[in-house]
Amino acid sequence: MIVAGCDVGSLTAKALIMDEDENIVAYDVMTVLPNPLRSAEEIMSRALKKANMKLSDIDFCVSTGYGREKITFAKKDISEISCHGRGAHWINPKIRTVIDIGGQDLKAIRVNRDGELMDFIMNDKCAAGTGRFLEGIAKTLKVDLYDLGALALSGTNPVTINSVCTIFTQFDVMCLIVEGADKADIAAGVARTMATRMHKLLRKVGIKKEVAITGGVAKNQGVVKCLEELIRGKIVQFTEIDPQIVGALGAALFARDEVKRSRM
Amino acid sequence: MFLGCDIGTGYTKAVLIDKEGTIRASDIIATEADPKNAGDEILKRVLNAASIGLNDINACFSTGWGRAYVNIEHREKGMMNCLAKGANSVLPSCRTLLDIGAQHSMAISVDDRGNVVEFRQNDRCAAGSGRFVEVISEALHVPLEEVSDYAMRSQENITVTAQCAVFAESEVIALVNDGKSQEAILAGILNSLARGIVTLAKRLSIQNDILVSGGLAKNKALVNDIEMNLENRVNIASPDPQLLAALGAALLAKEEGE
Repeated sequence: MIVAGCDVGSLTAKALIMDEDENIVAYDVMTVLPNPLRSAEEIMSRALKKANMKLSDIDFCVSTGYGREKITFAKKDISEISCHGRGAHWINPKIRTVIDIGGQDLKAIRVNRDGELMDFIMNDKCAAGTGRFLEGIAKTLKVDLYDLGALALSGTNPVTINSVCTIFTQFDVMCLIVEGADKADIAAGVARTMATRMHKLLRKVGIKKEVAITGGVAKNQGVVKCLEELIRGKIVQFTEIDPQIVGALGAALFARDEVKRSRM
Repeated sequence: MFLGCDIGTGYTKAVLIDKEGTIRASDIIATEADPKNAGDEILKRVLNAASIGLNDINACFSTGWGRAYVNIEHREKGMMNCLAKGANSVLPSCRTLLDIGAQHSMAISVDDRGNVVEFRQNDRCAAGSGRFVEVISEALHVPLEEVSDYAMRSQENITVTAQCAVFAESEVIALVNDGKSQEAILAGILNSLARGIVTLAKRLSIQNDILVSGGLAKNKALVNDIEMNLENRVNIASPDPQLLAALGAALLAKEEGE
């Protein structure tokens, strides 16, 4: 049995292929194209190429993410909330809480010991605390998005950011640059603001250990460290598995369920 | 002479009046995230324009986000009070003022003497502010000062659903990919902004006459949309709606001096 998960988000598309024994055969991540179906086709063909397979080899594909309903080659679509919970729990069965930061949303998810979704809370109305927030700040600071975390860790005297709004924070950062503030201190202040937003959401859903972080922002170590300070505990980070593909992984696991069910 | 300065997040404004209350000089410059420099520059400009020196200024009141950065002895005043004072002087019958700046929108109930009765404001989120229009105009590569003309030419009604400026930008890019015109998109964006401002204003009891101020009051298409959503006529603050808070600050400085 070969299954696949395809996660088309607002900023990136991810695909993952899994075999009979729950091994991850291949996966890939790319920036989305304007059309969700085109993104899905492209990312799936990239993953298939890595696995040396063709689409007809896939027994079942589940789609997830913001563009999930438009992916015609997927036989089922499942909300990214369930997929993130399931994927994180599969990686580490001790996980009960997941904070997922997407390009345009922020989710806190609670799962039970079987990885089933218990409760969730999300913000998808405002860019504050999302990947887009960090992207805007990186642009204003003129640093690469993926360098922002290391830069934040090197800041010794984090600035205070009073704004919540992404656009207003970008303006605050411009003013700080004019005042001569250190870029590392700005990045550290931004990481703290971001972690504070995430912590608020986590508290609303209830923090139950272990806590894992998924999504692109999980790669920002500055944010992760601040969040660990706020929850006064360690956050499970996925080192062997890319935190961006947890949704696609969960989707592939749901695809396995479908195949198993059909065989029964 | 009495000076009013308004150092905003987008623009820095100053108005100089004489003891009769007549405007002797005024100017508007971009703040460009440097309130200190903008404060110095605006002061120099109005003094030059009126051919006077620092000693000729009897009192200076400053307001706005960067109000501390006026490099002359001054008193800081709340934005609301300055706006209400200014509104009363340009339109004594004004009872409701809507001010839309770079990073805020405000609705103020004003009494017949230019005092603030009540106010509502949004300064937490770019959705109700000039930045919203700025972000979208940049995404569409339309110069900010042409946004109103573009919107007025629109033949179509588009609803932009995202409230957040960042998400609206993504929505706008999707609309462009869908083949929608820049004109129609900008009309949709201004209408969305107008709806937000009217929602804010309706949390007050709106009474006539209504005055509109702030940099966004120069956007005719936006003002039309506000009128349509309010189902009421509005007036644009003269001589320049962007100067209203600075004018009010100067008038308050004059009152103090007397």
